[in-house]
Amino acid sequence: MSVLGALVLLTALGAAPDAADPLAGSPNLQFRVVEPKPFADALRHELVLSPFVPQVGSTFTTHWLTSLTYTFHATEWLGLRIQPFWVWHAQRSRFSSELLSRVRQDAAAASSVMLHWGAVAAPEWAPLRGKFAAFGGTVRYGLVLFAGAGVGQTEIELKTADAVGPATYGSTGLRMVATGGAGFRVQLGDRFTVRLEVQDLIHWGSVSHINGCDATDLRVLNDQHTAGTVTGAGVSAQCTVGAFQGTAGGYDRANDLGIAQAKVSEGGTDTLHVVGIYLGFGVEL
Amino acid sequence: MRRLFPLLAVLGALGCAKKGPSPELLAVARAADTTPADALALGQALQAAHLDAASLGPLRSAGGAPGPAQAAAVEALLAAQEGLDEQLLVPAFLAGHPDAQPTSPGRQERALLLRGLEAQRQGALEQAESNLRRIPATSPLAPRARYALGIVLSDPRRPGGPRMRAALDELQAVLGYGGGGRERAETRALAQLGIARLLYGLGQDAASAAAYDRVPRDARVWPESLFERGYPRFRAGDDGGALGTVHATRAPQLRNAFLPEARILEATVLFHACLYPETRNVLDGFSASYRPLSERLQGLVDRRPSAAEEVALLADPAQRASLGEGLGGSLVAESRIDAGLRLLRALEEERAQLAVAGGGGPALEQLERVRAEAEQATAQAIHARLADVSASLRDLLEQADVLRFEMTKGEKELLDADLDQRKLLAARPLPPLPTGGPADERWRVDGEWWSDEIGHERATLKDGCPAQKSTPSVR
Repeated sequence: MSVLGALVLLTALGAAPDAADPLAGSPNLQFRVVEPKPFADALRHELVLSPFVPQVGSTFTTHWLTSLTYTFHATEWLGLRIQPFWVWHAQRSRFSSELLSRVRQDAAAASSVMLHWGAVAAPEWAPLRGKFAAFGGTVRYGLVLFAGAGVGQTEIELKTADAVGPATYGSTGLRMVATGGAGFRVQLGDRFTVRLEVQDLIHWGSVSHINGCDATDLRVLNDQHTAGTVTGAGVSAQCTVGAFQGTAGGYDRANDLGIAQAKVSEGGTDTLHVVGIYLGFGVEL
Repeated sequence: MRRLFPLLAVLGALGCAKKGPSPELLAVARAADTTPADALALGQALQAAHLDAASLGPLRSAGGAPGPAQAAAVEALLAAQEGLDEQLLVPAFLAGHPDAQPTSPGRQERALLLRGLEAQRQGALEQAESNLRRIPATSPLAPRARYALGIVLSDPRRPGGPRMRAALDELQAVLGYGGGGRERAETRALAQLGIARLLYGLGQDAASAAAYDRVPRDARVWPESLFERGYPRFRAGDDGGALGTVHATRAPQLRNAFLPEARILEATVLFHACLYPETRNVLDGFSASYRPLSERLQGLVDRRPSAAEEVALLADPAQRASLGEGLGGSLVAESRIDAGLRLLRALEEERAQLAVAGGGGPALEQLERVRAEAEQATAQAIHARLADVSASLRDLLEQADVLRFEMTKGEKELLDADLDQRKLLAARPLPPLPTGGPADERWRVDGEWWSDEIGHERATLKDGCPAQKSTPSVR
């Protein structure tokens, strides 16, 4: 039997209808259950850890992240959530890598920007509730919807990992991140919750700076590299020259200057979606 | 070696079992009980051999005879009563021997409680009150005693009349005793139900409904409280609340609860709203279920079956189920009947052990006497309840007939007034259903019975009377 089949079997709904109920079907009366919520949420705090969030449906990038969501439930239906996240695995997608290796075609710079870390805040609405019977008890769940905004640190891959050295990345700065999502929140007793949500982290814009250096800075640095040494003389104060100096795994970081200059010069903008499946385990205080 | 230990232990136990009864058991099986001292020694030896039920006989013999063995015998008898939770023979013995006292203060309190409960059962309310009041509030038996005292104080037969406020105070005090496991939780639930009933008797409908709501859902008396709380709601004019709570007693989860009165209350609420076809349906269903049961019970009570037959009626699952409508289950759950059946089972088990130990002997003879008495007392308890239920059912069937008559009168009045009730009802919209507060969940009632929803049902119903009434809400 499949897991779904077992679940359906376990959720055999309530008890059988009472065939002898003489009031069933009377047009002159109606019944409704008005039941106090067994575990009230209002004015309570919820912390949910989603340890592994895979990105789904991406074309050029792959993100794996960890998220911690704090939700203050102002009422039974409304809450405010603050959600920091950390992307611990971000690289170009397999499709993008194959595009590069087989036809020497790289994705547009604006489409290749990846999130590194960030935080979003959003009001949360729980408009619908339901329950099912399982393991001899009743499990309550609710549909949650949320939308909000925040900020996120972004980066772009400058060099893929190959025989010459590891992959290298350049910071593309702090960007505004919009978010929206929906999911189900299951309550396990008074204290514990499990959430399964789909959430989109949206960021957009062009690649105008890499490691704080604009096109002019990068041209100057690239010229210095061609001349022999990247000194950093003559670039703007925001330009982090150190990011192009030294080596990473035997790879000379100054070699990134050419590709960085090319990406900054590319122009164009894009709106990027990091759609993730968030399976989180929470505790309510 | 550590892995072999459990195996060796099991083999050792089996070896001992194969050897037969223990030396203690062999000794007591043949011991004499001719004097109170002998009887005490026999009773104590039976207790030492974990034969508490068998020890009741010799200990009663020793405890009933004044002399040096009496106090020790009563002490041991109360220990056996506590271990068995025996509620028939020992209380009757104590009531019949008011001078027999145990030695320890704890057992003295137990004796007071059992004497008080027995006096209450026999209607000697003054004696009951006097005994129960002597149990200190700090005693572990205080919750049970104060609950019984509350019931005694509220009894209309009490000399000097009932003292409702004092009774409420005693019952409220019971709720203040925490912990204590299943028995104390049961006492608290009974006290809560008692409070709700007293408040209803005092006409405090809102407080009574709220008190009924506080009876714990896992309590034995919860189904009873569920239907009873329809009364204060109905009297307060909350027809929807009353109908909702009574309708919930149809849930299959409550099939083991015997609640015929719930159907009469349901029909009464519907009749009050002049919903005659619905009233008739409920009454027809009630009569179809309970008239045959009433006739069967009447026959049974009039026939006065033997004690063994009456005990078998409840002890045998098949016979119990044949009573129908949850009656068997509800009778077995009653504490005196439950205690009697448990004692009989314990006596059967111990008789088998004694028979293996050596056949015959005073211990076995005493056990047979106790068994006969226990069977008689249990049968009496069963018979009394069957007679109560039979009388109550006859009364309810008469109420159903009265409702039918009143309904026919109402229908005739509609005809005389040339009113078509179907058109009248079709023209009137259903009043809105209650929505509850922000922390409430609302569920549709669509034929499924969820355990957690039972007791939270509310109804809205049209008023089919020519002149509409308003239906205020209790909560």
